[in-house]
Amino acid sequence: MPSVCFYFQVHQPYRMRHYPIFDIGESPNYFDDKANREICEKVASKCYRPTNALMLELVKRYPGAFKISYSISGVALEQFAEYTPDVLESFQALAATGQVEFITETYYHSLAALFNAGEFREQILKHQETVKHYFGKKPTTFRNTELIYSNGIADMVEDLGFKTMLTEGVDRVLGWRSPNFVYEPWNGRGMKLLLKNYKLSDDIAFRFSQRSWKDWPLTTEKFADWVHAVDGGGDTINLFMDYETFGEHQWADTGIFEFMRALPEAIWRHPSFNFATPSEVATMYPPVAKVDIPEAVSWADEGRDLSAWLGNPMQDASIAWVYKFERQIKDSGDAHLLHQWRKLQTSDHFYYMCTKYWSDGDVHKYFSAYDSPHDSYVIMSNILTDLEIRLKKTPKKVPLFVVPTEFKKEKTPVKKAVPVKKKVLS
Amino acid sequence: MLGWEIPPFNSGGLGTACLGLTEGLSDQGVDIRFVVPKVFGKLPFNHMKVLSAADYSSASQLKSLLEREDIQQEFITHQLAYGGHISVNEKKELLIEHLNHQLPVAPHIQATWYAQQAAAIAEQTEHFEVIHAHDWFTYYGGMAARDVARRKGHNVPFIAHVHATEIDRSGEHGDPAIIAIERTGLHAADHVVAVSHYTKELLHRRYGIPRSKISVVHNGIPSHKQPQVFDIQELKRHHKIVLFMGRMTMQKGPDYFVKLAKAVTDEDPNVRFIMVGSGDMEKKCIEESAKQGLTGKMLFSSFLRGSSVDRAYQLADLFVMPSVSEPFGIVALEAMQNGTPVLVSNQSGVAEVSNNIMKVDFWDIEAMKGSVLSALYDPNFHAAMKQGGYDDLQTLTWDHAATKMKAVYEHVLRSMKPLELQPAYA
Repeated sequence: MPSVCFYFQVHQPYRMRHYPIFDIGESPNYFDDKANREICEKVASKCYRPTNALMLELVKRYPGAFKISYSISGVALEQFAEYTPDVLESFQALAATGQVEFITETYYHSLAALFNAGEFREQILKHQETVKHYFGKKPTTFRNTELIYSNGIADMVEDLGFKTMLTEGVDRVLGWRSPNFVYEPWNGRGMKLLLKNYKLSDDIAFRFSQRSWKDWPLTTEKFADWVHAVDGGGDTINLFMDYETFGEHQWADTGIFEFMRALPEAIWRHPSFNFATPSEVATMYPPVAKVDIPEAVSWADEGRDLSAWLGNPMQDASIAWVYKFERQIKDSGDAHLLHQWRKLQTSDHFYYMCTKYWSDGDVHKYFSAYDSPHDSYVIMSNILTDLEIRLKKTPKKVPLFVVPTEFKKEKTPVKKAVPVKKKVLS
Repeated sequence: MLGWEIPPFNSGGLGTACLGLTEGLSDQGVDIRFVVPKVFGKLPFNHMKVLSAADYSSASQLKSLLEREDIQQEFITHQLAYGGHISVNEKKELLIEHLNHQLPVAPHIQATWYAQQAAAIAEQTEHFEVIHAHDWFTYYGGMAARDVARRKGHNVPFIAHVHATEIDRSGEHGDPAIIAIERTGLHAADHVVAVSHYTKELLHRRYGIPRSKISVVHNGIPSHKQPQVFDIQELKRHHKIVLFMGRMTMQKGPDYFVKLAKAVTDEDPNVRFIMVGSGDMEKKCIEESAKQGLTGKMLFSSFLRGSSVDRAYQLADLFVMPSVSEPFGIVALEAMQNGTPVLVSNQSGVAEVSNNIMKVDFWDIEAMKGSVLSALYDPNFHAAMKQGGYDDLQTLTWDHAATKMKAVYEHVLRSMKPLELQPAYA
């Protein structure tokens, strides 16, 4: 009885503002509040509001049957709370139905897993707390930024007690194997691994409105047929995609909302299919094998590798510089500074610096807040130079103990402080 | 006076020089009509009348330009890139469009069009004693206006003023069409003015202009305008700062500045380099800096205007102009005016005018490094350069340049022979 498992990624970075050289040492405002508010508001009206309304409609129409899951980055949640609180409330309404799972990721949508294990853990715990705060349940499923995954990352995640983890079903890793089963990490101790069916996921996320595609237009019947074809050859069809697919990447006039509205019943036309959340899939089906992924993979670009964020000298030098500040930032004991520094870790900043010029480059350009990859590099250099000066001027305080998120006004009761973990990877 | 641009609608030093020189000449009682291809908006000065050449377009002139049976026809068709089969009227419209918006057109076409406009303007101007043309674009115009004057019976001299040649801008890869216009114009001119002895020698050696025909009038700075003084930026309290300011093109040697930054910071990592400007080498310089490990040591800013320029000079402890071939280099004087010591390449005209400027060959990175470090770390030397620079600037003003220029006018006018009487029957 195969399951269709939807996971939607919701993320908005804090975009850096055009920070001129004359602000270095003078202005601690690194982010473009105006643009961030505008973009948040724009995407809310094109995507989050209508899509959440649709999902709530479906969840209520099919009680106990239609199920989906979300991962909302901490920086996106913060911006919703500040700029579009109604969006946050509509996610909470979805959570209240019990048919929607909320997943944990790194709070700052960062690449910390690749650079700093201590940071990685702290950001995960911070996000876990935040999700519990807003949606009432402590997540046991984890997805890393951009589905970046390796054996080592899985180890760290399992150490934190997660039961399920998501990643990309990369061909070069799977070989002849199918992504439509539950797997285990190579050194797993019981944690389950769900792999994205990138073919079917990308049919919706990327190809839905592509007129040059031979299968355009994509109808629910056609798509349901493809899903049904898995029957007997798999346990789960993992459809993982950016939530902004709905209304933002695929505009409303492409029919994406109608497609989604009709999809549940089309899937159920085959009696053995159901919908399930990632943690349900992980308990319903036994793992079939362990997969060995020594080199990090991701869900981005053709290569499904790290080359969207790392690899050119601008990206590598910038990110290395960001992480170099760790000790000083933490020694400063300044929570605001820590938060700012972590917002600079968001993967999007490095994505904007990508200079790959094939078709992926176009996608990067579409998603960039800047005119060129060089702009974001130049801006980040200016900001980090300022940060360097601020740190020189900041007196050292007692080592910082990271306290789970405190939100403006509505403070969460702090349970216990989690001490800073020693760096194990660098 | 025939020009190409005038501030604030300028892209480089030529406009700045024309403004300074005309202000000086006007103070000395010279009445100026200044022609530019097109006036784009209201101009913030009234020491001279600015004429827009585009306003003098007549349909018949453009038609005749397009009907000329020479290589220019091919240029038009080819350069406008609309195929070879368009009617004269279509060509005319395209050409007007291009010329009016200063879009690239074949050099001959631009210069010929400008010459026709200049002739029309000369025709309508009651009385003028000198035709003063700035750089290649206007040389045909100078010749055409002189022809008009001669037809009216006045032997008015055409003075070609060389601010830069195509050889400065592009080295051995210059556009042969522009070089040809320069050669024709300079040989046809009654007299040539060069902005430096460096340029005078280049004109003699590369264009075959006799030295006796060339006067040198160095550029200057406005004596009445003192830069706004800015507070010391925090950045400067933490780092020694070396500045590059100019177009990032081959001529200005930005790549040598990157090499210099590498050499200096290898020895003293606390020095910060800043590059201000835009141009076709901008991205290359940014990428090269990242590649050389200069992230955090080299900062960038796009083209600055107005008081921000002074602010950048004041931010710096040293200004470096590593030009490969620089006829003058007013920026060096501007830096001195802001109290910032200057290092220029030996291949720069400005090197001739002050003994309080450090001079090194642009390719000699080792020597440049040594000069930079001593300028940064020898306070006595730094102070002496700064004071010496101020002193030298007393005589490096546009007033001085204008006095010299007026003397050149007088010399040329004295040497002009009256036109030979034409037989009445001719």
